[in-house]
Amino acid sequence: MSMPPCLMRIKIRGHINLWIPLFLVWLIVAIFALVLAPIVLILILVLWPVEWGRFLLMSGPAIYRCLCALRGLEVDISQSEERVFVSFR
Amino acid sequence: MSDSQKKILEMLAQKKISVDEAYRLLELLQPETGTGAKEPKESKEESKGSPKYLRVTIKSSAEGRPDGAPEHVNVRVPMSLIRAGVKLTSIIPPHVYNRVDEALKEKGFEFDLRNMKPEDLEELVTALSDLEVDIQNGKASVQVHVE
Repeated sequence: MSMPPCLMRIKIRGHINLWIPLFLVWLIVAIFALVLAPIVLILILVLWPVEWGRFLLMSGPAIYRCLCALRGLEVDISQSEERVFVSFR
Repeated sequence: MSDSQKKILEMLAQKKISVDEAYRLLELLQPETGTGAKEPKESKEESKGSPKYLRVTIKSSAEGRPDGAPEHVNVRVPMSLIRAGVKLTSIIPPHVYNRVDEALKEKGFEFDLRNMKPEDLEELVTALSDLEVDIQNGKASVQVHVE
């Protein structure tokens, strides 16, 4: 089973060099998801006849798949002294 | 007889492929078949062929740019992100598909999003393993390749 990226690295201009622990962010998101799960389930049942319920039900796994796929994404843009580097590991 | 040859003959026996198709597949396998020792190398080459990232590199020199500063762009996109993006189309509600199709047709794209399947994407991704684009002029270069 693939996991979402644990770390995000942001470098701006060479002065700002941040390592963001995404695993803590996912922990907080998971807690919020658990808390909101009953409300989302009710919404799915209510919206099921108008097709949006299916969308809501499938969007969770789809978003999780996209998040897991972010591992390895790197964007590096530099212009003279300006530089932006974003990386997911 | 190699495993690949056996699979082809099984598919022919089950009538999943025609005689012509089986013959063509066996012909393609012919240079690669030999002793059993070659098979692990064959599977290693097959697994090596599946690309993991799409890399786009753009370099432009200072001349020809309005601000006179060179620019470098280097983007590495995981293929799994592209696959996940295609799979997102499967959760779009049907009435939204129709609106998207209409908008695409207005722009001249006769393309139905519902026809995009993950199996087709796998075929495209495998075919991309040999992709290499390298465009250079005096002022800028663009390189696209998979790794």
